[in-house]
Amino acid sequence: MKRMLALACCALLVAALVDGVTWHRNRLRTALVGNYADALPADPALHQYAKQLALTAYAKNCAGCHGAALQGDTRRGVPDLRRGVWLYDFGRVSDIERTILYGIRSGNAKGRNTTDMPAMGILHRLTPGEISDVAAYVMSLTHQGMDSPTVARGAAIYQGKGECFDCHGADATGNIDWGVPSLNDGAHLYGDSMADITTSIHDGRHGMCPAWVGVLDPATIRALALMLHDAATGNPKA
Amino acid sequence: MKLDQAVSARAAQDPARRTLLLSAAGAVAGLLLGGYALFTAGGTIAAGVPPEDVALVNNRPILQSDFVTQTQIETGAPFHDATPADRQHVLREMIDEELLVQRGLDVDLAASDPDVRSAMVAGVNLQVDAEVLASQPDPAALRAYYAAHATRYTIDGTMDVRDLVARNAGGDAGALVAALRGGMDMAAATTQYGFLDSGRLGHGDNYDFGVKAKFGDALYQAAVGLHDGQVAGPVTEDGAMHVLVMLHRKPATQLGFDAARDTVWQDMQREARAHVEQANLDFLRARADIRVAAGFSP
Repeated sequence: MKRMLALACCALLVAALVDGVTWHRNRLRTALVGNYADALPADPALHQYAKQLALTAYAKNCAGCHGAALQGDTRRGVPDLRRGVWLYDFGRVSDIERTILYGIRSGNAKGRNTTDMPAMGILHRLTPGEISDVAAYVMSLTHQGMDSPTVARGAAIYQGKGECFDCHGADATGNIDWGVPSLNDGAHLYGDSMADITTSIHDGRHGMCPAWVGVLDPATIRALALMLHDAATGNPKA
Repeated sequence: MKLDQAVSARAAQDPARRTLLLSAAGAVAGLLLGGYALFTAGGTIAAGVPPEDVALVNNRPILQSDFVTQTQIETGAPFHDATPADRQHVLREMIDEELLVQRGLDVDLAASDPDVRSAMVAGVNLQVDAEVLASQPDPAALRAYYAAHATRYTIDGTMDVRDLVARNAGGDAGALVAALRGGMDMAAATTQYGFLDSGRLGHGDNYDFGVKAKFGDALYQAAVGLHDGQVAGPVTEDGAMHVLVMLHRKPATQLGFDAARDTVWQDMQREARAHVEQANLDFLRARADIRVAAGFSP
């Protein structure tokens, strides 16, 4: 009889433990998705929970392009997610979450599909010489010692015939509403060598990111956004 | 005998009953705990709004992320700066929209409203076309496409031509042509030989395609090969005699590859989109049950 009682107590304890863990995870999940993305509590347990959730999903769905260590790949224009340089909006958790939800040029109507970098060379909007001049000008925004006359010609094309200013801005700071990169922060998606920049201008760029809404659950998407935000901001809670 | 002593005595007499009671108590406790866990686990919330949503409208969620974005769009400010009234206003709008969308689905608006159908078709094609729209031009492919379709890349010619038609059966077309070719003033010759301007074509330069549309094929073919100052005719059309006088001709010009690149790229993309859209339709057709009535063919 005593043995049976002990077994029953053990079973109850195990059940209570399982339920306790479930309850705790539900509490964290609710905190994760129930708060506004940009107002998540500074709770280390919450960030840790999100990170655990995100790491599994990241390894399965994102690492193939973005790399196991978030390092990206300049050959394919995949951003280094650790740098905190965001094409769209301000890099808030909500901004990152939106990109993950609906993607970039993903075919989702809510995706970030505003604009492309035109192939100025292939479509002969600029001559090879003009492209070299503009590339030199772009290089000069982040590198010292560029040839001044070439840079001056490139700047004139940038502000004139090339119409680069129209998207990238007269001051080359880009446009976060359209996903147009800043050219003077040294964070070139496709590499920052003269050859890389020349290729970007000549061939154009049209990076893509799939839409994950309906594929991943909302908590996982929020967790990914939080993890990436933490990684980019060096959040010690991450 | 005290009560507890009586229970103990009774229990001692009936161990099977005690076992049953304890088992039942354990089962009830297990059911309670299991039920709680079941109805509070993620994705199985049966009552209330899931935490990732701001509202459920007939069980369809309005995602918090969408609400935040919509609020920021409408207020033009970060979400945390939106007042409660702003948020309330936006949420009401989103709920209203969801209600109307659901109503549209209920009454199967897509079956009857051409705008809804067009929007749905465009939405599906946008998804299918995503890869094509994000593709980059390949120089060799551009050049090959241009070479295969060079005749498409021309600038249409223009002409300023007069169509002189016999005023009546007495018009002398042969004499008019001879007089015009001999250098006689067109107005004087037209009057003298019983002709008048048909008025089918405006004076001044007209694009070839416009001339063709207004003249018809026979007259257009007679006109298109003329150079400045040349006269064609007589040409008979619908029983009437026509004489054509070309005042100014600018023939169609072939665009070189460099000049045509933009258009070539657009054409390639258009064809690629048509290709993937057709492939999608083929796939859908293969899965669909389509029956066509006798005498019709799709």
